[in-house]
Amino acid sequence: MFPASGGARVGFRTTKAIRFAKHGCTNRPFYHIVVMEKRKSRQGHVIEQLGTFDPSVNVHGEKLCSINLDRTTYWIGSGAHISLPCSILFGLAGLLPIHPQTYIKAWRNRRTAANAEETESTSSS
Amino acid sequence: MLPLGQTNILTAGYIGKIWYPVGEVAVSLGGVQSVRWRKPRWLPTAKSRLFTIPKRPVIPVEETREIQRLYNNYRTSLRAVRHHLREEYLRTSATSEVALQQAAEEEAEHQRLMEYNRMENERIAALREIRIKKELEDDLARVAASKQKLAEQAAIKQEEALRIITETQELVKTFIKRENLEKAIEHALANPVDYNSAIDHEGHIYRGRNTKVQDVPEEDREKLARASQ
Repeated sequence: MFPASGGARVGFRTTKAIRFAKHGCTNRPFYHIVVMEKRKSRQGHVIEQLGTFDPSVNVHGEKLCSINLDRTTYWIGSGAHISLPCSILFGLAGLLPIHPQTYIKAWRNRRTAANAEETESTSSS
Repeated sequence: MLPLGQTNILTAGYIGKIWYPVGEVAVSLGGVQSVRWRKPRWLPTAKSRLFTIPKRPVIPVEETREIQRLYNNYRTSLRAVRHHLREEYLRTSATSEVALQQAAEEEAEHQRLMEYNRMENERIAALREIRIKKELEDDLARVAASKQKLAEQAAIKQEEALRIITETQELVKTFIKRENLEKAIEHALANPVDYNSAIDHEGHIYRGRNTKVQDVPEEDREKLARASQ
């Protein structure tokens, strides 16, 4: 078994990507934030693990995420690409500017909530 | 956007003439055929879904502009952040000035520690020299003491042996020699020794075979040495 925490060969002048590697099991996703070669598959050999992300909400209504900021900045500085979910997460973590998708999702959610409220009030009255 | 699990296969140059069987409708749609892995390739689009056109999401113009603006801003600031991190990376990478300086500092520290190590080794070596000399002296003294003790013991043993020899020589004088044998036998026959004896309650001993109490007068009775005490 290749370790999930990394150790893959760092290719010379190959494109690296910071992205999620899916772990967990059926109906219970869990992600490692990893550096991999961009052309490798999602479950391919990992160069380095940078953190974890648990998309399931815990009892306190939190989605837990851990990021090794030192290594992340190192890898971004060395020119690694960042996948969309990772860039959204880094934006929320304050490492990168907040991603537009975050704003878009927020205002769309707000709009649907407002619409639902309106329909409720009209139907009740 | 296509749902997950669907891919587009471009059949450019082969429109209407591809090697594998597909639905006619799929082929005529601008050279783009959607493949769902759920069902075999040769099955055409389901009849119920044949002419359905998915509804396009309607995004207002203002929102589109806002999204465009946000993305432009995001790309600009991301480029700035990336540039900054790149500079940081170059500054701290192995061949940078800071790294070289750090390496030199580490080397100097290592040299200093090695010098300290050498001095400490010398100090310990001097102490060890003294200790070994003292141990050697102690060993010599111990050996000398042990030698003396052994010599004393040997002398005592020799004295003991001499004593035994002299005693034996004394004893040898009493031995019966061959020329004296007749004489000794004569002497033994002439002086028989009777070891029989009897005792009574008062602690008197009656030697020989004449052990009747009445036969021995009161004044001739011999008292036992232990009983008389």
